[in-house]
Parts: sequence; structure tokens; C-alpha cells
Amino acid sequence: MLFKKPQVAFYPFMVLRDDYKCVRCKSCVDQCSFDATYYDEDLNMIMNHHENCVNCKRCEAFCPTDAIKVVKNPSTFHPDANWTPEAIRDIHVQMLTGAIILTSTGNDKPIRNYFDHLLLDACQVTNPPIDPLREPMELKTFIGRKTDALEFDPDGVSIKTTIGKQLELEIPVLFSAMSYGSINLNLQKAMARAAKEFGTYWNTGEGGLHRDLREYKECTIVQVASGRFGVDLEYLETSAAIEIKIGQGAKPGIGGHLPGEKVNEGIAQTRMIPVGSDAISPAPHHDIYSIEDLRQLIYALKEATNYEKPVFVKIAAVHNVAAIACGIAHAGADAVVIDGVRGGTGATPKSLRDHVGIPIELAIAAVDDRLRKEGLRNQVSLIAAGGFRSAVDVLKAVALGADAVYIGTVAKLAAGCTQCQQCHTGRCAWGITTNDPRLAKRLNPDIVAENLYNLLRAWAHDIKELLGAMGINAIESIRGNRLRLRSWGLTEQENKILGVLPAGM
Amino acid sequence: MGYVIVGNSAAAVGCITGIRKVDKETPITVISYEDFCYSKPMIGDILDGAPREHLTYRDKSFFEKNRVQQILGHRAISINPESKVVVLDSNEIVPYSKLLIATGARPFIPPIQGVEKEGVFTFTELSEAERFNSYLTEKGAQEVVVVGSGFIGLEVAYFLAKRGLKVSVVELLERSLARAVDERTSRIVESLLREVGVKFLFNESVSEILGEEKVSSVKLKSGKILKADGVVIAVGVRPNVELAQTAKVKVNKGIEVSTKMETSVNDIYAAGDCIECIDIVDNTKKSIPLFPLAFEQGFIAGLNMAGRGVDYLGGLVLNSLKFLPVPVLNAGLASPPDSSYEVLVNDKFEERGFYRKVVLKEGRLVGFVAVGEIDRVGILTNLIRQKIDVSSIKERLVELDFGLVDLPKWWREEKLKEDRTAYKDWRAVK
Amino acid sequence: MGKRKLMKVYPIEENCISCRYCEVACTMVHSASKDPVKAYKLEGLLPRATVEVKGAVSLSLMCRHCKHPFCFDSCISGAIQVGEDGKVYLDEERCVGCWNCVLVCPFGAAHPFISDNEKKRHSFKCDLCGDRGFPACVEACPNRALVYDFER
Repeated sequence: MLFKKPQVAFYPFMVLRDDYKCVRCKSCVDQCSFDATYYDEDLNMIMNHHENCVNCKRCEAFCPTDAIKVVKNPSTFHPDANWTPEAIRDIHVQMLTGAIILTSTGNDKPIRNYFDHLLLDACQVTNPPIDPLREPMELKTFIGRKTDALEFDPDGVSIKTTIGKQLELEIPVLFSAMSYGSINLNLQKAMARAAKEFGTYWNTGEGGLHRDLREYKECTIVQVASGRFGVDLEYLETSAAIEIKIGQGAKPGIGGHLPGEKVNEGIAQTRMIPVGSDAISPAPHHDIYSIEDLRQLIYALKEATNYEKPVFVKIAAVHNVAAIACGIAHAGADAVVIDGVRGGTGATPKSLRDHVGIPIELAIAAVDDRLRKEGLRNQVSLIAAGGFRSAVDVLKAVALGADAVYIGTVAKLAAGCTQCQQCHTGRCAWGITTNDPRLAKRLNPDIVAENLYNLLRAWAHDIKELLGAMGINAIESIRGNRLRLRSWGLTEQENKILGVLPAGM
Repeated sequence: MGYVIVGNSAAAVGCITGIRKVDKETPITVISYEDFCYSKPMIGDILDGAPREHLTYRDKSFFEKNRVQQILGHRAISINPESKVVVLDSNEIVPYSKLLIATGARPFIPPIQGVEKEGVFTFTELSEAERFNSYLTEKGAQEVVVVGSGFIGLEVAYFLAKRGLKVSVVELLERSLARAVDERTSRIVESLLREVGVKFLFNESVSEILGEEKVSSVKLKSGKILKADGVVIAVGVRPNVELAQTAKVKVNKGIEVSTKMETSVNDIYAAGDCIECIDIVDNTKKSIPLFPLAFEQGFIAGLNMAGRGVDYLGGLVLNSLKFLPVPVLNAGLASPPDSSYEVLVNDKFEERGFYRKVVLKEGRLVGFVAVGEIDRVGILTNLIRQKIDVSSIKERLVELDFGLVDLPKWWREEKLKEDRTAYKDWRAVK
Repeated sequence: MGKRKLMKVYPIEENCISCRYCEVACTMVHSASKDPVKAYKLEGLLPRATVEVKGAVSLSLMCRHCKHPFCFDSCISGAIQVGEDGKVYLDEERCVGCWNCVLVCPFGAAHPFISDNEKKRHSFKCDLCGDRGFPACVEACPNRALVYDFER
């Protein structure tokens, strides 16, 4: 048929091919998981279905002779600030499908990134900086309920106060929840290994814990979400901590849906559902309609695990996040996790991803402030999540008041992700967000574990260097220390919320 | 005393290689009436202008390194198994502790009137090939008749036609290579030969070779007369068993040997074109005069002569039409003899220049033909050898990208991971 | 005979992602130009490793340097020899292109080469990168699907 539907005719990306350089090795044909590349035997040429190209750049990366470039289609619609190509394309899609537009990864809209408007301090003359290569530098972070005051033995030396179980992190960074199903076992394996090796934690997400990963118990945070997938006593006990997931930054207020066709044997077993059945996480926890209900679940989990596991509660950063966080603290959580508007996901309606929630920077500041005001700050740790890109973002978040930071997208990037936003299709060409065995083996857990370890190591070096410049030798001394931050280009109101002074003051 | 080998071609070299795997010391003697160790399948290259040295199969250094004494230019005329000696035409007596008969095969010459005339040649030995070649040159030959369209006949025809001679191939049957390949392949091969000018006369035979002393023409059964400055008889070979018979070795279609390659007479082994061997495809004993088989048999004979017990469980037909620009390979059965066989074909010869056909029986591969695209067909050959059930993947067998990946994982792991690459891992199974 | 002390390339199919880097790297290092495009297009070279793909399974295969090489048995020109080091050598100059090795190699690792003008015809196969010291395919593999070792 020569007639083409609009979303086929107007495609966003093109595969440019230097035919002279092409040696017909057909690597690109094999690597493309979106049917955008094929070999034509009659012409002895590699050809493309540009309309299928998602700009994942797998072919580009794997072309041994650098003959391929994936580019934006120069042919676009009439320039219009309101009717952007994306807006038009979305209409074209919805008029044909009558459905919600699904997407994945994090918010790609230009919502202000406050980290980019925050600047760190450094020491000059009066209090000298510290050289992290010469002097010890402490990044160790403890997550869990602390105490407001210490009680000492009569000898005045030994501490009488006891505190609950803490997670001990060598860097204030943890791997965030990505479920088996949304990603494959290989990435989970890689994260678990890297976490164990480096001294931090990884999170199972809501899809249960595969048998093969039970050996990583000591560095595993198991999640309990509204679908309760894979939750049983053994699951809860095979962990360092338990996280109750209420919401997620990429899709606040809605549940999740892993289509049945993705539920293979391994996933089914791990999630404890039949093979091929849809795995639906309801929007609410059907047993939680109040802070009191949440408290019941928190204590049910603590009771079940003999009060040996810290219990986290994860929510999306929404408008009144501060009040909710305080409620969570009151409910008895050991840590509150806030996921900001840039948080990623394996699948979400585009409208929710891009338009619901608030930036994590503002949420950290607001929650930290409120917890302090209510005298709850020592009772809960604050973990921030959603779009952290670098060690600097981490340090700024800690300065704003976070105890630690969850990274998810970064872990995917270290596994090769190019942010093509196709996780929801299950066809990830990089073998990350797919369980297709042909694709999943592209992610070698050995290699990615090394990559992740390197990344954590690099970030630790970065943070130490920055701390040293500030004359600080422990991450603890910068936590909530917003005096070492200045802002630029922000309004007075924004500065007020962030609790920082503008640069120059 | 030591090992003695009569013959100096593939089986002999295989035997030396086999003996020296086990026994590095005991002397080896090779007896051959020919003057050097050359490659028999390559003698056609003489017609293409190749120098003699080009045909060297194993040079002096091989024999020196393996400490082999060569007695060249002398024919072994008899064996005395009681006193364990070989008698040469020079009356020299060579004693042996273990003897290998690797006397090969000799061309079959049909009883045609006038076949003894000058200008009639066979083409299985270098000296004869050389004589033929110089005869053609000296006579300024224009036209040649090749009797028989087997591999040798066609090769001779092809090279001569390429030299510009008028070549006619006279074949008794209705197509070329009729015993080796299937009809489709025959036709492809014939068309390739016709391209260089070879003429075919099928369902024909030579009834008389005409000429005074030298051949001038041949008379065909149909009465037709073809001008011929030279005639090549290439209607097949027969095992050369004369020497073996002097030792009262049991001979059927060829020398009978055990799985250890030993003949009916103690300490006398035989290998190569002179023996009858089990064809693993149909489990019958026959003469399969082919180079790779000769080497393998020689090798196994060598191992056994040196004391390592290894069984040879049979061979299979392995053909390569090496002289054509389009390669043609086949192994095992090329055409099914009856309807109990299954045939799958992938014929894209006209469009893409390849043809592939497989023959199966009871889920096992028993033969194939590959024309044009031949890469990796060895995998098929070894499926025949290993007698693996391929019924679930039979459609894939004729695809060009057929590979180990199509075979069961356990099998692949065994061969690759466990590195099973020794003889016992790949020889034919019972 | 016992275990040989021979390092060779072992494929690990669990890790193979059929990217064909091994093929291209092989062709490149065996070319005169050492340039992948020229190797294929001007020199007409072909890879000695073959990537086989079937659904989710793929692996790269090259000469196994057999303990008992059938190619050696069947080589009519003497171009194929087994070295003292256990490697199977194929002398492309000496090879006459009879294709017997192609016909008998159980791994499909000996390949036929016929140049466009038919001037050159010979078999070719993995030489473990000869003087290069380390096989290029193993070096090029991005997913550790090839190892160069005494055993897998």
C-alpha cells in the first residue's frame, strides 16, 4: 500500500547510512529490535523502515565501520511554539488508537532543574580546604531511626541509648527500585553485585526477589507495593530493609500494569502469579486509606520480621509532600523516600509522567524543613529519588537535607541505556528493560556490575573532592547544611522554599 | 625390522602420521615404484600447466623428520607372510614386522578394440598424465575424446577445453557423474563444461579406436566417428590387489580388512583405494577410492600397527569437483535409491547461483549435494557421520545459514565446551 | 595423548549478542590495509569466524584446532598441517582450492575463497591471529562471548 497513516508518514528519526562504508556485516539488522533495519538480498543492501526507528542508537553503536548515524528527521511540521511536532504526533496517535499514550523513563519536559541553579561553597584562606587524597574523608551514611538525645551510663563514657537497625552505606547513594519484569534479571544481578561490592543497597522493586538473587540478602531492600507481588515471609526476611511503595515520581496516583505477555516463567515464579497473567498493581493499597492504616502495615511488617528490618515508605513528590512525609514519620517508618517529578519508570501514561508531581529539590527542602519543625527529623531518614544525574546532584541533595539518594536511570545508563523512552515496549535493544532472551543477554551482568562499581567509585571520589574543597571531612557535616549552598537565577519565593540564599548574599 | 608401507600416497602418509603418534622410534620403510610423494587428485593440474613440484604432497623433510626410508622407483612384487618379507622387482628383500598395503587402485580399461594404440591414455598416475600431456603437445593435438564422465574424465575434458582443444566426452549413461551426483547437479556441471566448449555424447560408447599405430579417431556404438588425436579412458578404477594376493590376503571387492585395518593375514594391514570399506550410509562393503578416506584409513592402520587399538567404523562418499569455477560438493547419497528416503531441495541456481539438496532416511541425514555456495557444508557431512536425528530441523539443512546453532544445545556444548575434537569424537558411528 | 596445552578461542553462547564484531575484527586484522571497509570492499576478504543466529541463541564459531583434524586428513595439497604446538595451520599459498576441508570440517570452520577474477582460490580459516599474539575477535567482543584460554 502506498497510502501511509500519518504517524508512519511523519516519523521523528531517520537512519542515515554511508553505503560505501557499509560492509554488509548485518550487525545492525540483528541489533535492531524495532524492525527498523533489514537486509535486502536482491539489492544486497541494508535498508530501513525509518518510521520504526526509536533513536535507541543500538545500530549506530554496533556498526563496526561507523557507517550509521541516527538523526532527527529534518522534515518536520511547520514551526509552531504551541503545536510542536510532539503535540501533533500525539494527536495522530490518539486519533488512531483511542488510547492513552504510554511512555517510559523520566519526564523529558524542560521543568526547571533546581540543582542547576544551586552552587556549592568552597574554603579560601580562613578555614582551609582538605585534600581528600591525603586525609581521611568519611562518606559513611546510616539510614534508619535515630534518637533525639543520648543517654549515658553513670561512667559518662558508655552510651546507654540503643537505636534500631541501621543500613550502613559507604556512599549516600542506593540503587532505586526497578522490578524484575520491568527490567531483567541481568541488571538486577549487576546492581546487587555492585551494591555488595561497594557497600550500598539495591532495591527489588515491586516484582519480588528472584531465587538467584537471594544470596545478596545483606544488600537488598525488598519492596512491598499495592500488588504485593512475590511477598511472603521468606521474601521479607531475605532483606536488609523493607520498603512500602505508595507512589512513584513518574506516575503519582496510579498503579502499574505488566502485560501478561511479558510474564514469563521466571517472572511468574518470582511474582507468584500464573505465567502469562497480567500483573496489575492497583493505584491504592486497598488496605491503606489513612496514616493509621499505613502505620498498621508498617508494624505488621516489623512484627513479621521481628523488628530487625528498617521499614521505608516511598511516595511520589506531590503538592503537599511535606505533610504526607510527616504523617509517614508519625506512622513509624524508619525512612521516607520521596520520588520527584523527573523520576523514571518502565511504563507510564505520558500525561502523568510529564505533568504530575513536583521537582525533587523543592520536595527535599520542604520535607526536611517540615520534619525539623515537627521535631521528627531524627526519627526518619530522608531518601530522595528522581532524576539524579551526578555526584554533584547527590551532594546538593544532601546539603538540602536528604540523607541519601536513590539512582535508577543512572544505573540503566551504566548498562548502556540511551534514553530512547521505549522501556514500555519490552523491546529494549540494549537488553535492559526487556525479558526477551535474545535481547536480555545483551546485558552481561559481569560487565555492568563492574561499570556500576566504577560509577559509585567515581562518584565517591567526586563527593570527597567537593567536600574537601568545602573544608568538610564527613558527609554528615554537609547534611542539611544549606548555608553551603547559594542559588542563582531563582525567585525570592523559590529561594525561600529551598532555604538557600542567592549567590552574593 | 620395522614398519613397511607399500605405496606412497594418502594412505601411506596417513599411516606414517598414525605410527609416529604412538611410536617415534621404530624405523619405517616406504616402497613405491613412483619417484616422489605427490598428490594423486592434483594430477589434472599438469594439463593446466602446473609444474611437477607443484604436485608435491609431502616433501623430503616430512620423511626425514619422521625417519622414514623411501625405496623409490621399485615395485614390490610379492609378500611372504611366513618369513615376513616384501620382495621387490630389484630382488631386494625388505623384512617387516608390520606391513601396510597401500597400493591404491588402477584404472579400469574396458575391452575396446584398439585400446592398445598409441595415444590412448588413462589418467590416474602422474607419469602417465605427463606422457599424455607431452603427447598432445608434440602431436599438436586438436581433438580429444574422453571416455567416461566421472570426476577424472570431466577434469581432463575441462582443462583441455580451456586450452582450446576440441573435447568430446563419451558417456554410456544419460548424464555425467551419474553415479556420484543427482541429475540436477549433472546438468549444472554439464552446462559449466559446455561453456568452455566441451561436447557431451550421452547414451554412447566407444566401439572401436581407429588409427594405424596412433589413434586417429574413435568409432561410437551409434556408428558415428569422432576425430581424435588422443583418447583418455576414464571409466573408473579398480582396487589394486595383485600384491596382496601374493600373500594370500583375502580379497572381495577390494582387500578385506578388519575395523583395525588388518587383513586376513597377521601383521599385514591395508588402507586406501585397494581395500573394501564399509559405507556408513548403506552399511555395505564396497570400494570407495577417495583421498580423505585413504588418509583416514592409513592413519588408523598406523595407530593399530603401532599398538594403539582404534576402530575404523567406515567411511562415506566425499566428492569435490575442484576444477570448476562453481564449486560442487557432495557427501553420501546424492539421489535416493527408493521412496523410503526423503529429499529436500533449495534450488536457486539460476537466481543466486546455488543449489542445495539433502537426502534423509528415517530422520537421519544420509547425503547432500551443494553447488555454488558450499561454505560450512562440512557440518552436514558430519551429521551423516554422526547419524544424528535431524528430523526436527530438516528444513534448515538446505539453508545457507544452517549451522551448529540449529543443533541441540547439549550436542553443541559437548563438542565446543568440552572441546571434543579428537578422532573418536567425530568418526562415523555404528 | 592427554590434555593439550593449546590456547584457543571458545565461544560462550550465553553472552553472544550476534553483533558480528568478531567477524569484522577478524577480516580487518587479516587484511593488508587493516581497515575494515577496505578489507571487505577492496581486498574482498571474508571473516574466519562465523556468527550463527537462531532466535535468542547465537554464537561465534571458528576453527577448533582439532586434535584430529579431518581437514588435515582430507587436504590433497599438503597445505593443512598440524603444528607441534597443536595448532592447525592452513597455508593459503599452497592450497589449491579442492574444498575437501570445507566438505569435512564438522564445525564449518574452513571456508572457501574464490576471488572475483578466479585468480585466487583457496580455503581460509582461523589462525588464532598468528603473529598478532592475541585473537582479534576476542579483543573485539563487547560482551565477553569469546574467551582465549586453554579450556572453556
